[in-house]
Amino acid sequence: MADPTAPLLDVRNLTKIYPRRKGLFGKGDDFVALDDISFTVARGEVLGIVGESGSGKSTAGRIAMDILPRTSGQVLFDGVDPDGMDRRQRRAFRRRAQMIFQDPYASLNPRMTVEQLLRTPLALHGLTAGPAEDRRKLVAALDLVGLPETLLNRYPHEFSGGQRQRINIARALMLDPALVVADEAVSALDVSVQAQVVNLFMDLRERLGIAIVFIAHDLPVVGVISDRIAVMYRGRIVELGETVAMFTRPRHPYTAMLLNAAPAPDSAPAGPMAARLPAEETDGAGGCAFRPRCPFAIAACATGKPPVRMLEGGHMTACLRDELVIDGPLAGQSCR
Amino acid sequence: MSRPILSVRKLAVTFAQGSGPDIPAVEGASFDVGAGETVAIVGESSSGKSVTAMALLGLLPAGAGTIVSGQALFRRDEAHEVDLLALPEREMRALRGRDISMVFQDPMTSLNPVLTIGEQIAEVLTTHDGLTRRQARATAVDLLARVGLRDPGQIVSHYPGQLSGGMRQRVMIAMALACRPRLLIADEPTTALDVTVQAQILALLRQLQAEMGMAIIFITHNIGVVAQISDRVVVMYSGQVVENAPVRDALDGPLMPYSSVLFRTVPTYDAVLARRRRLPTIPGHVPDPRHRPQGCTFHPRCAHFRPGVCDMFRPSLEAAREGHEVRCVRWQEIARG
Repeated sequence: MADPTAPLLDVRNLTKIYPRRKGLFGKGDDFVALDDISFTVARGEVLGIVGESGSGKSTAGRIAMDILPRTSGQVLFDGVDPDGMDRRQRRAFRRRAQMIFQDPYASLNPRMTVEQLLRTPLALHGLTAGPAEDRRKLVAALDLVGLPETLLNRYPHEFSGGQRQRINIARALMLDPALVVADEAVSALDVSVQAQVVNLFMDLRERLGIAIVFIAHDLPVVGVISDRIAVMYRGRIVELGETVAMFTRPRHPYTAMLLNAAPAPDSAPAGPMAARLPAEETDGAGGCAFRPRCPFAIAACATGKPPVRMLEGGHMTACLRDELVIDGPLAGQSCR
Repeated sequence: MSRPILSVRKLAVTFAQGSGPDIPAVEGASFDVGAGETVAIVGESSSGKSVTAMALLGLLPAGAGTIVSGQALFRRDEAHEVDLLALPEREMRALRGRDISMVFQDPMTSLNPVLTIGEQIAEVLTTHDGLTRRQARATAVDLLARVGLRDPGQIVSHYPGQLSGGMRQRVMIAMALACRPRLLIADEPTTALDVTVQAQILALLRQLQAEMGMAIIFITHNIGVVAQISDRVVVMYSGQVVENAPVRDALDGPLMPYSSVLFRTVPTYDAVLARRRRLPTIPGHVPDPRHRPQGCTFHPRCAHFRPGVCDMFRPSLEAAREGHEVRCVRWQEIARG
């Protein structure tokens, strides 16, 4: 067993490059999906990863789960890289790290009953412990996600989107995971159902001590549930920090722009940050990728990729302009 | 409010199925839209919000299975009023795209992939305004510039697949605005877009509305977007309008228990600050339209449910005060606390 104070998941300098060729033999520009990203997730912690389409947030989650190969970098789960795991370790990793996807319709086999769906992981991992014990586990998992055991003989098509997502979560829970990576797990759900599933994730964390990587584009939702948030832009983590600190004083202009653009019922109408967006993005090659959209860009931003700077409280930002003070939606409200 | 541009009365849409029970998608929806006003229709799945839009546009699948009743009086100009629900298809086709136009959620499936952007916009203009192809192309370039696209002269010869989602949605808006409609119906126009692109599109719609004075019906499930764009909110639940009020009245002091709990399920920055980490929820789920509960359709999920009252009579939409309607028999008691 690894050191209990060490992070459960420790991702270091992860890079993912998709080679792009022009023609059959020609060389093209490589597409850098992930550019040297590092983050940790502590036991029982909720780390939110936000960013827009193409930011690399899903790629980061998939590589951390070792379901997508990486170009370089390290993923340490309990101190061991899945890349170097033997069969036994890999099996344990596959059990202890679970993933929930966005589409609750596509992720359940329509020809299996709920009972079969929930038994399958046990069988695959050789964890069956006799019919009575297995049944007890099934019912306990359903109970945790708030579904009655009378549903065990039903098929996925008989359920609503919210119920299907609960079944997905129950299936992940059958294996007592230490980490759940949820990729846009509530985005496809109705508002009232989304609130139920968000609360369910919070229950899992409190009652089972499960760590959660919550990948989403909806900032207010991520803000409510995450201890810390990583903000991604064009394959880089541009800011990572504790939630309230980030919502009070975002340290990267892109975070401020996202916060400003994400409407909450109690937010002011989009302010000057959102209004200053250029119509379409131009390439920020050579410097900070956000430079063409940034109202605070200076000449130095074009000369090289801004280094990651560590601030107080473990907060980090990849913006050169450390003197900037940008008010987030919680500015003036929190006691920090 | 001055005379509304659109007055919907007792709109009902039922989908009859050959074998199974009928599906009453919309049950007697009534609301007005003032000239230049933005009315948000909010609701969850099967609330009837999108079916309402399709009915107004005459785009519901025709056939014996679809039964539409009620009235939707649309003021075409100062002198002429037409009932959108009774209009013959030929007249509806002339009206749609010219006086009333629409923008849908998915810009990819709404654009024809094998026609250039210019050809598609020109089609609207040659059909409705009788412009020549050359004039239409020039107008198309103007329109693309107005919705904030760079290099509109280039974009007219692009195919939809060459544009990003945000650019395609701008093209859809340009097409919708081509004939300067008096009413724009937008069904989840920003739902598929990134938040910063969404902010741009909302700002664009507000700006174009101010310039052209058109009214907008904005259908969405996103309460944050409602707060940003609308003047008035119509809340729908299981096929019925349950509340209709000016936006701040609706969001700050909703009177119908469903609207009030729906608005609270959305995370706010206050909740982030308080580190509550639990969102208020509505127990149960939206009822199957084929088996809606007796009485108030929300009563099985309502914290203010009173047996013998709420499960007996279906409440009517009543005016709580000027411009604020609510469908709940207990709203006065609840408001008193």
